[in-house]
Amino acid sequence: MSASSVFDMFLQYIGHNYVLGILFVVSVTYYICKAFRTNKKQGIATLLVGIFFFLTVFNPLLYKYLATIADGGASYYRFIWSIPLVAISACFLTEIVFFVYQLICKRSASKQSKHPHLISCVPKTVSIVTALLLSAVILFSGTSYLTADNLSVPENKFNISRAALDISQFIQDDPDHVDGDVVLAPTQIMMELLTYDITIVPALPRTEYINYKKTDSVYEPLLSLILEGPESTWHHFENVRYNCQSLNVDYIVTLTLFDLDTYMEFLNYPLYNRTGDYSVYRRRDK
Amino acid sequence: MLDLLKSFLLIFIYITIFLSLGAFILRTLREKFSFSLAILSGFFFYHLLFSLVALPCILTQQTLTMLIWIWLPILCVIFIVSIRFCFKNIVSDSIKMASALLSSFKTPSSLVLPTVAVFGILLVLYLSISAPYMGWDTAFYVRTTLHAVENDSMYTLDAASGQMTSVLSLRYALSTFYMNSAIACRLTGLHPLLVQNVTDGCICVILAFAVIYRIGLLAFHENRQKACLMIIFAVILHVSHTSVFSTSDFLLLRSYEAKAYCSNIILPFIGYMIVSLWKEPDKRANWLLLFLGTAASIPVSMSSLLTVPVLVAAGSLIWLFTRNWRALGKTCLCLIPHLLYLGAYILEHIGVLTIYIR
Repeated sequence: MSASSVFDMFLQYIGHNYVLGILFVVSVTYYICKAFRTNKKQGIATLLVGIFFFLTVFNPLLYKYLATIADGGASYYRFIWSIPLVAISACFLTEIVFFVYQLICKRSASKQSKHPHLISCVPKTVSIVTALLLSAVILFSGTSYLTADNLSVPENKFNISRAALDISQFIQDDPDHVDGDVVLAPTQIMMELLTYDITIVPALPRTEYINYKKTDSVYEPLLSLILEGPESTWHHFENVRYNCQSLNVDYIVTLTLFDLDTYMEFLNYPLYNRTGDYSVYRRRDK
Repeated sequence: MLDLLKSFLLIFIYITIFLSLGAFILRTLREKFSFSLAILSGFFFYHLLFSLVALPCILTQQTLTMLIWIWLPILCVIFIVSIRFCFKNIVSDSIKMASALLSSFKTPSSLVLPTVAVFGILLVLYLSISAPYMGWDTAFYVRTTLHAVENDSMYTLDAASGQMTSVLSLRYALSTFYMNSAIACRLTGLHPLLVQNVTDGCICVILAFAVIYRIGLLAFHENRQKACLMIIFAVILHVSHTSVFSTSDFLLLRSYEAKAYCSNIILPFIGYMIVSLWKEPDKRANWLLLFLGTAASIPVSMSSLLTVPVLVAAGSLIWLFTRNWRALGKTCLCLIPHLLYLGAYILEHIGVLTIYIR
C-alpha cells in the first residue's frame, strides 16, 4: 500500500468507507469518555495510547521519514492492525442495541397496560429492529465481500484454476521434464503453478511482473508476449528470442486467443498442449 | 473428498491440542477454565514450544524429517502430561458446559444470539476457504512450505525467484509457522495448498473470533449474550467493506498467511491482555498470558516484529505515568524474547549475522 500521508493510508485501509471511519471515530470517543467516567486511570491509559500513536507511527510529520526506513512504506499499514477497528466498532454497536433495549424496558415498565405480554415484547422487537438497521447501514455503506465470486464453490480442492492443474500435469507428463524446468506464464497462472508444483521454476522473478510497464526492464517484451499477446510480438522478436535463451525457458504459457502458434514456431517453441483458455509451448531442443 | 476430510480433521486435532495445552496453562495459573481463553493460550503456548525446537533446527539447517522426529515425541509427552494434569477439570467443565447448554434449551430465546453468532462465524469460515484469492505473497508462502515438504529442506529456497538461496534469510526463517504447516503436510500426505487454505485458514478464523469473544466478555463484564452480539456485528463489519491489507481482507481472503494471524489474533490478543492488565495489574495470570502472546508472536508471524513492541509500549505508558515501576519491569520482561528476535533480525540486516546455506 503506498500512501502520501497518514490520513490517506487510513482511508485506503478502510476502503474509503466513510461510514466505517465515522463509526470508528465515534466509538473511540465514546469509550475514552466512558473510561474517564468509570475509571480515571483507564481513561488516562486509553488517552496515552492514542497520544503515543499520534506522536510516533501515525505522526503526519514523521510518517514519510519512518515509512521510508520501514520497507519504503509498503508495509507501514501494518501498524494500523494495532488499532482494533472491528472490535471497538462492534463493541459500540452492541452497546447501542442494548441501550435501546434497556431504554424501552424502562419506559414499558412505567406504563400500565391491558396487554402486559405484548408490552414485554416491545423492547426485544425494537432492539432487534435497531440491530438490523445498524447492520444494514454497515453492509450497504461499503463494498461487500459477499460477491458471487467469493461465495461460489471452488473449482477443486486446491482452490486454484483447472487450467493451472492441467498445465502442471502436461509438464509432469513430458518425458523430458526434469526438476527445475523454467516456465514463463501469465501472472495468475504463474502464481498458481508456483503454489502447486515444486518441480518448476519461474522464468522471471515477481518484481518483473509487479513492475511491468512501470520500469524500463529488458524483459518487458517477453512479458508483453504472454500478458498482451500479438500487439508487439514481431517487433521485438530478437529481444524475446534472446531472453528466452538467456533465461533457459523450457515452457511458455499464453492465452490461446493470442493465436501465437506461428510466432512460437519461429521462436523454437512449438505447441505442446492446450487446456481451456491456455496454450503451452515447449522448447524444441529440450 | 478424503483429502478435504483430512484437512478438516486436522483442524479438530489442532484445536484439541490447543485446548489441552491451554487448559494446562489455565490450571497452572489457577484461572477459571474458559474454552476461548484455553484455545488462545494453548495456541500461543504451542507455537512458543514449537519455535524452541524448530528454530535451532532451521538455523543449523537440519532437515524437516529431523525436525519431525524431534518435535513429535516432545509434543506427545506435553500433550499427555497436560491431559493427565487437567483431565478431571476438562471433564467437569465439559459436563458443566453441557448441562448449561441443555438448561438453556428451556429458554430458547437465550440461544438465538449464540446461534446467529455461530452461523456468522461459519459464513466467514466458508468465505476464507472458498475465496479465489491468489497473490505473490501467497505463492511465496505456500511454495516455501511445499519446498520443505518435497525437498526436506527448510527456508533454503528463495521462493520469489524459485532458485536455491545461498544465505538463510532470517526475515522468514525466524518464523517457524510455515514449518509447522509443513509437518502437518508431511504427516498427512496432504498438499500444502489444502493444509494452509483449509486447516490454517479455518484455525485463524476460529481464533480471531475467540479473541473478539474475549474482548466482548471483558467489555461487557462477562455478559455472554452481549459478547455474542458483538461477534455478529464483527462478522458484519468484516464482510462489509472491501479494502486492501485490512484485517478483514486478511481474515476473509488470506487467512492462511501468517500476516492474517498477526492482524486478527496476535495484536488483538495482546491489546486484550494490556486492557486486562489496566484493570488488574497485580494478577499474575495476566502477565504470564501477555508474556505468552509476545514470546510466541514472532514464531507465528514476522509482521509482529515492530507492531507488537509498539503496541506494548503504547499500552505500558500508563505504568510510567503512574510510576508503577514493578509493572514496567514486568512489561520489559515480557518483551525480552521479542527483543532477542529483533536483535537477530537487525544483526542480519546490517550484515553482522549471516548464515550461509551448506
